Amino acid sequence: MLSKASTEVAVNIASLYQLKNIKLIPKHPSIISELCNKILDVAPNSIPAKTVDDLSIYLSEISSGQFKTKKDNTKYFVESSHDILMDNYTKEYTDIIASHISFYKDVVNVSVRKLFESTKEALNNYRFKEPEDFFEVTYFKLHDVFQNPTLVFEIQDYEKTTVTVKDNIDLFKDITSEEFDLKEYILTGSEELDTQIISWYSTIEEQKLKSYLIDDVVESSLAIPDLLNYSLINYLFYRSLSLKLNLGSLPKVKLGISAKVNTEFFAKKLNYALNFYNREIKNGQLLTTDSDTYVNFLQDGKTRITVYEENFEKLSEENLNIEVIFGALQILPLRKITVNELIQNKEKYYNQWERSRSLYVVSLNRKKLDAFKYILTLHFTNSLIDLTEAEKENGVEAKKEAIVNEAKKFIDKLEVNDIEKLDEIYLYLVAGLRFGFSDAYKFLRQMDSYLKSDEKMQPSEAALYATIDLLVDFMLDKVDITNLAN
Amino acid sequence: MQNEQIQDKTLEEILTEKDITRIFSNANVIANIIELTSDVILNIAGNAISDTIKNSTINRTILANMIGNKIKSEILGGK
Repeated sequence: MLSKASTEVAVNIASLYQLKNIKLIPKHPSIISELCNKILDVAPNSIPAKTVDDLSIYLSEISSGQFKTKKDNTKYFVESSHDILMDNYTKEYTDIIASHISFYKDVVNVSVRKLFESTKEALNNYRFKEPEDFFEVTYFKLHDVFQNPTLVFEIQDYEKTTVTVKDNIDLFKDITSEEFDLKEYILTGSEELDTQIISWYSTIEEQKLKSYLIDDVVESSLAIPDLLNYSLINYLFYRSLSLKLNLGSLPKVKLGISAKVNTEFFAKKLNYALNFYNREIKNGQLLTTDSDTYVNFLQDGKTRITVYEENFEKLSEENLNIEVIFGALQILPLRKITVNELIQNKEKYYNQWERSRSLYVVSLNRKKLDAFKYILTLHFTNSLIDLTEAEKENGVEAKKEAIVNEAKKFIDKLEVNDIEKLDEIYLYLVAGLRFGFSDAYKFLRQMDSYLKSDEKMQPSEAALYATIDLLVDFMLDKVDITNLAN
Repeated sequence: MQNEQIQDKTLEEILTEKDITRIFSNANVIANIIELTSDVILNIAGNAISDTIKNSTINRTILANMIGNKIKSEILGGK
């Protein structure tokens, strides 16, 4: 017996079709024509219903059978065989649909995931540099210790010193000894200054600071950030040594003279470095002198630049970002890259960056797409080596070459933007081509579409809707739809 | 006998009877599709969609409406 739920909805839709002159005619022979005929067999020529509500009740009742009247006016019930037929088809289609869904889920979907995982790993091994990856940017900010009034006052005292060469004192063993605590050794006794010294010390590798004390450093090769650190550690060290006279093997008098010479030498050096830094800031320089001056997207390696943070903040105040420097680096000599120049001609440098960036991105995308196509073709072809039982039963073995050719045609047409649609690509290749003998592609694509339409939807709910779609499509295929108005 | 009955009716009533017959004919097709699809869906066990049916308030009425909407959109959508 057709349920009231089914007949109510059916009569409502049928009323709508009536208004639109649509007639549904079951194809013969088919499951739908068989079921409909079982009802029509017992239905009278004239339908005893006058309203839509009556009709839905009548359709439900008549599907189970009908009372008929004998010549002697006694009534008897003629049972419809509709229910038996419906039960049989329900069982048959439940088994078919359940096994199909299991197949889509456990075989086809698993194969889609497998292809996805294998290509994902291969794609991850291909490393592509984005345009911004070609730059290694360090921001340099002068540590507070360099502006400590006590320190600044002290070193200014040595500005006029006549010392031009430092004395060599062999302190290698002392400084590299495990017991020697350099951080402790350089403290001055002034609480405020020492706090800043400790803070500054912690920002630099200790090994580097020690190497500034014991190695032959080519001072001219040091850019301002390093020159400042180099000068300060040496100044603080010899300042302490001249007071403590407790390291090395020299007699104390000789050690005292040499330590004093070196204190003066490094005070002067530190003064010079600080003056240089202040001039750089005043002149609006943005990059330290050791910054790379070239950008080459065609070669490996990076363009390393150190930006004066103090001046970069002036760019930020004008809403300019690091890209304006990237652009300027390509057309300006390093020393011409100043705050004023970049603010005044910002469009020129942004445009330059945008142009070179775009050119690089085009070639990068081409490379990415080629690699993607190559990997996808390789892994899809390999995935056909081990066929599932279902594929063997459906003659996929003999169609392998045709499937691969079809996949190659599809892959060949992919564009860069398609790389973002990996799910759809894998689904088509596996469910649509490899398992093309089934409705897997239709089913899984429908599921995917439902899941995308509602982020909160569970896969099982999407599977339910996709199953309804699959069944309804299958059944509507058994029906001719005619528009009587045509 | 049937012709005599029809002659006794107004034109509007005859048209109504035709409408009812045609609605019945279409409803018969649609109701069978809805019923069979509902039965199959409700019977399916041991796979992904069964959880949704078991754990939610989906019953035959809701299912009938869902299936009906699909049929409606398929046919009116230009099938």
